[in-house]
Amino acid sequence: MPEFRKDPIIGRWVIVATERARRPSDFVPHSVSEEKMAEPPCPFCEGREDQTPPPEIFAIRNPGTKPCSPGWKVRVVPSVSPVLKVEGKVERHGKGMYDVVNGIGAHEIIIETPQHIYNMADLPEQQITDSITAYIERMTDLGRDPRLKYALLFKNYGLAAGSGKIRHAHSQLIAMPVNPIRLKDELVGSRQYFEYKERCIFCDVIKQEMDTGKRIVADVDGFVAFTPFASRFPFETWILPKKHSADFAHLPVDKRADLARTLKLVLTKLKKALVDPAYNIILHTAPFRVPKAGYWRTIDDDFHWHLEIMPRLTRVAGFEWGSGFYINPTPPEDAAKYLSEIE
Amino acid sequence: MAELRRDPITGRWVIIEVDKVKNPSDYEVETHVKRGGVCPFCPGNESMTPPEIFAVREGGSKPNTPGWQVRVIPNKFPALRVEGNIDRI
Repeated sequence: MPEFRKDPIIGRWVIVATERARRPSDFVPHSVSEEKMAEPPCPFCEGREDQTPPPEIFAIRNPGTKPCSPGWKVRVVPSVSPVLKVEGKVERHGKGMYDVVNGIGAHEIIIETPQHIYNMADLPEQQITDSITAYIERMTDLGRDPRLKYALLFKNYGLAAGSGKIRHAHSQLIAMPVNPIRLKDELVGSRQYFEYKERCIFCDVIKQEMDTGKRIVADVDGFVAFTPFASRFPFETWILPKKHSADFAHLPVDKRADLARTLKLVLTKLKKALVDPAYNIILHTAPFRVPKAGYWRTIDDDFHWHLEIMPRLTRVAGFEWGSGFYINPTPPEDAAKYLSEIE
Repeated sequence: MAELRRDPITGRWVIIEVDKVKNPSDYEVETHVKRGGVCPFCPGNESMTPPEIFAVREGGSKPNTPGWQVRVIPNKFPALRVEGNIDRI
């Protein structure tokens, strides 16, 4: 019997099939490593720094090496085709009853390795730790810009996840002058729960998941990975810090390697269980904020940053678009069982 | 240059590209692969679908036979079930 499950944070319902669950082998294998395409010389590889648009915004480099030259571990450059523009003032105006804001923002690419490796699961842990440092550096810097409200960090791995033709590990950071609706829904839901219970909803979810154990994928070094109760997609997995924190950018330096280890572990499990599937990773963290009377009063206590990993195995079609519902043919309990048992 | 436009109904922002726009010819189209075989929705193949729920038919033709203009059948792989009571568990 299919079941409607409600996501407690934003109140969204999901239809989960609890019988005839689709096993990993039931999905038509679409391995990213099998995507056939002619690859031009990769502009992200070490030695080709002149192939990316200058300037080099940030890099973790060996001492003595110059920007836009080899000798780096992680490198941040502007996007080749940026969605938003960095220069200018934020102008809000109306067109009749409609609201418009001019396209101010930042669009950066974080290149996560100097070698031509595509899947983050295949990177050495230290590379992932360095990438996390780069994310935090860039998000903190962009947060100082009073025009910007939020920076979304995301990764598209594989064509089905919307990645372009460059098969070299990277993530993108798009900073914007408005808060995105998906985040807004979580912020509102979190604040309402906190007003009612005086507890962080994510902390309660973590406790519930640890108590039941059925959906835990990994619990390592202060980070927990689980398949959410109302998972939208088969094998959707979230990673959260067990210790409450609203801001990803406040992650202490000594905890970054722990996060890197957890992330590598989860991505490796997904790679093995689903034969190298395409996936997206997104980071939800508290928006940039200046303390303002009446605004963001409880956010440090009510919101909890988290990573959402979404393997792209199924399509979102008419029913999903029309209803905002998702139909998930793999119960998260089954997904967690497969993932936790894979070495 | 892009513009952020807000949907007044849901409050959702969308980034609309105003300069480097993509025209119909810029989008890659999936080529449809024509496959052979029998179509279960065509007239004459009514026995290949689950029994019909409703049909707009010419007078005299029986359910699950040809002679219909529009036909409603249950989905073979239903997302939801008709039987049972609603339980919030």
